[in-house]
Amino acid sequence: MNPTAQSIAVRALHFVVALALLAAVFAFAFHQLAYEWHWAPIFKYRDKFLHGWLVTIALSIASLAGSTAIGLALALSRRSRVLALGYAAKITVELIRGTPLLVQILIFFYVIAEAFRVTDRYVVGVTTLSIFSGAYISEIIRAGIESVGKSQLDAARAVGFTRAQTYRHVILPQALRQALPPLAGQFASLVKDSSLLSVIAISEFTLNAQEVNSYTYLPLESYLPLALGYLALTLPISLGTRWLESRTSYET
Amino acid sequence: MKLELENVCKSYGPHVALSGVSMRVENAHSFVLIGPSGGGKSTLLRILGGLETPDAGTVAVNGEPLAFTEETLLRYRRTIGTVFQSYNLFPHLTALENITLPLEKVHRFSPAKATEIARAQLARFRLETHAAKTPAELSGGQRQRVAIARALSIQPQLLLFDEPTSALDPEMTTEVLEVIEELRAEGRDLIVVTHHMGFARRVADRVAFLADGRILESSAASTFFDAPQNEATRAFLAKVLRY
Repeated sequence: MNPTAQSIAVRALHFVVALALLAAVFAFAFHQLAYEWHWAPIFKYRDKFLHGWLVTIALSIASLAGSTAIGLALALSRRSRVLALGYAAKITVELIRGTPLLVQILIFFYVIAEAFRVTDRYVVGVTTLSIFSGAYISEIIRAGIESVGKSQLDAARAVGFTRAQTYRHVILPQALRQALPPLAGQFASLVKDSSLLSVIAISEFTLNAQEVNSYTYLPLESYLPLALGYLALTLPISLGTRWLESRTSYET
Repeated sequence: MKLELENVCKSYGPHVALSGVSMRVENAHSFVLIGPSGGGKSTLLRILGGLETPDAGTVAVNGEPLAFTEETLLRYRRTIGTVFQSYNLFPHLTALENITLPLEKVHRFSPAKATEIARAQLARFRLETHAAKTPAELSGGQRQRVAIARALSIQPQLLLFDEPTSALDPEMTTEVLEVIEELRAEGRDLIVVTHHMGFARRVADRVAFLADGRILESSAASTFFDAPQNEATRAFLAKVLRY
């Protein structure tokens, strides 16, 4: 047996042990509860769970696109030569990052959407989530932009790029590559944060689980599938992030 | 090449980089700037490359006075090939793309034509097998040669080198200096900032010695190295040529 194969076997063993330990803790806790499981009533609502899960995926993807655009706009505004634009972006980012998403959703839904006559709650939901996540993404992109060295800017100027071309061909490709792992992490958060949209009656995963609970009075059976459904989305993202991190260490 | 500088001044905050540089260079193909670190060589080169705007003074290159506005500097930079000490190349692009990108985006060549030009340049520096590699996969010497190929690909009126070998190992230094010497032999117009006196002596038609933001001596290379007039130049040469 060569050393790498051995270390893989050893690591797999340790992984299984850790998993078993955690499982034991939970098994013990549930056993103490002496809970009688009733999965049959829940199973009747499987289409409802699936529907909610798919809506959550759709909301997440739409918000990902929206938050990337808003994040990029905020990050570029903060570096703008127009001072007012920079301050506007800075204030927005601080306000969004400093307040709970729940409050933002309620304010957007009951105040801002009302004022601007936006009636589609899904549009409000995606917009709110995009702005919320965009504030975090703008900081990630800004850090990426700042990681591009002065010598690269010199090189871009020396070959005759305009400022816009320098951003397009030199700064952003390098900044985004730097920002990709934290961006993927932010996306995982976005998926979970979308659960708060249930408070404005958006029929996503969490709301559907809540409804199943209210029909069946089986909270554990209603919410455990919820946990698994979110894990099924966030786990691949976080594994993908690891893989990206291992790939992006190309730098000079 | 023809360079005319009149009372060029440049400060960075309290630090005076150039304090009234005036000189004329005519009928020279290669002009080498030497002097102690912090003496203003790089600043002068960056002004000649259109990368820096002087606080005062006038600069004319090949009879064309430089107007220091962003648009005219941008147009001017597109006629100049500049090679820096290091990190010239864009790390997210291959060697080939590093050359084709400015050709396509700045000089408006078609992708096919840009690739053709880039391949020819890489071939002339014996880099054709490295076309698909990123800078991280190239040695320091290869990186600088790709940078030189990129600078040359736009048919510049002037090639500027800012200490092109300072970040390199000795054997790679030789490989890069040989390329520059070749360009000199072809009759290209070069301006070089360097610490290698032997190299300066071999390639320079004209040499200027800068210290404390001033040109203390500017003369034909043979005069400069064999019979320096200025006391400070003599002291500098005596020091750097001792080993």
